[in-house]
Amino acid sequence: MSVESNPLLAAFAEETEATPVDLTRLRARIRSAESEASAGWFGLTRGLALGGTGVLAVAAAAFMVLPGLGEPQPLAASFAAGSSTPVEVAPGVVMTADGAGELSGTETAPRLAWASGAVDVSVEPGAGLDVQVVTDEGVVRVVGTVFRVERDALGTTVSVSRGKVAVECVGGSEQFVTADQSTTCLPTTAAGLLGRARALPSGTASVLDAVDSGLGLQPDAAIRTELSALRVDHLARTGQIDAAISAAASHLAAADSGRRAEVARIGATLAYQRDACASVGPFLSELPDEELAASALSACQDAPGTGR
Amino acid sequence: MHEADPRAECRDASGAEGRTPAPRDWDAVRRGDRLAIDALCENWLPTVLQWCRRLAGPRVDPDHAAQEVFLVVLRRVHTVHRPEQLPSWMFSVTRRVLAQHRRRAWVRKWMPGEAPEVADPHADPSRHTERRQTALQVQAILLQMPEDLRAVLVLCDVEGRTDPEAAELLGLKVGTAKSRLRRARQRFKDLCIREGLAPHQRGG
Repeated sequence: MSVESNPLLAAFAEETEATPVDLTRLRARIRSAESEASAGWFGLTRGLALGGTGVLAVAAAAFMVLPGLGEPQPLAASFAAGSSTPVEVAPGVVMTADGAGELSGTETAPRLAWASGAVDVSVEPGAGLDVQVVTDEGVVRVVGTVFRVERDALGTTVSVSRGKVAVECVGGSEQFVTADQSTTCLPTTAAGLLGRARALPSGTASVLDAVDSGLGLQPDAAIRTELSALRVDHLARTGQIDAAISAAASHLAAADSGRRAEVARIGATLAYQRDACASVGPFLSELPDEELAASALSACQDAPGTGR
Repeated sequence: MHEADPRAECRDASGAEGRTPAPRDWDAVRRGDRLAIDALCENWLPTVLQWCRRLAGPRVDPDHAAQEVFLVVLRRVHTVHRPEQLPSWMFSVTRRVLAQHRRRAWVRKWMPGEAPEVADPHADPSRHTERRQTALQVQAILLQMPEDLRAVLVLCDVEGRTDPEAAELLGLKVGTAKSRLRRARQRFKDLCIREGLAPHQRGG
């Protein structure tokens, strides 16, 4: 594709690409605007501050209703980091946001497209409100509860303080989360899963899950290198010696893999610990000469089958 | 610096295009069947939003513009006679809406009080900061180009459409689209040099 020939335009293309959150926000905006038009609303846009001092960008559209029409009012507002003041965005719906997101929908069906940071949502039970929070990783649907949605490198975490919410992660089925429970929708891209793997405490089993899920998405060489190297490191740290050696050999077998010396060092060290020079062969050729000469592995250079 | 493609033509299509409806679906669209129109809009959401982001001018909210494009689509799509005409119609509606938004933004500039800044629609922690910075610089350069050159460059070199596709969307002959693309690439290159924005400076 021609965009690949120009990194400037390729960066522009990627940066302006529409994400699922963008599309959700746009759908909600179209529906609101359409219902406004068909119900005979007069659009009267005015600034409406949501939140306290330090709110970077909050512009809400309020609409005047024609007499006699009882249609719910459309919502449109942006949240930016820097505020933690509770805001009643619609009757019975209070949001305390510290992060970035876009509010749309109507006052009885608010839709929050949440991009980053944390938002606490309180919904009055039994008021017939249909509240949804959408992120790249999933959708949270609620009818009357108090909950928090937090989006960071680990994914989107939904914690419920009171009531019950339905969470549907992208590519997964709907699950219910009740009071004092939480659930996390994982990132859906290889880069996102790499971010998650790095953000998790080192040595936990979830690291390997995130790495393997990322590799399963067949990412480009740069991301694959990082995931694969992280896999080797994780297996070595958790004492899975055979698996680590095998993973290191697989990493080096891919011609376009980076981090070769680093991975070879781990593979050679583990192979040498396990059975001396017998299986260090695949790793020696990737190590710098000086490093090799100064280590015990130098004794393996002349061993049969080491390939160096 | 990026060299203009000596072949001066678009290459493979990006595949991002909304699909042309099947004849039966198109009949339903023309009859005003709401489900069929919704399905058509759904197909075109990403393409139109991306057009708005890539072609909008300063102080134009691309989300708002895309919303207006679809309101026009909902009202007027039944006036398109054949499904093959849909892509160029959709693109011309987008360009018209963006032109209106640019005019309004221009007027706002002269109104008392500063026009509100548009909220950053892309605030996402997974986005790469350097890439974002580069994209903003590219956008600033694109906005210095005449709209007709910007449109053909975006269609071909950002979205990867072929010459005939770009010509169809722009309502031009293929030869005209090609020569316009050559001029657009040269202008983009000149502006990049003037602004000191060369690919090798970004590790490209």
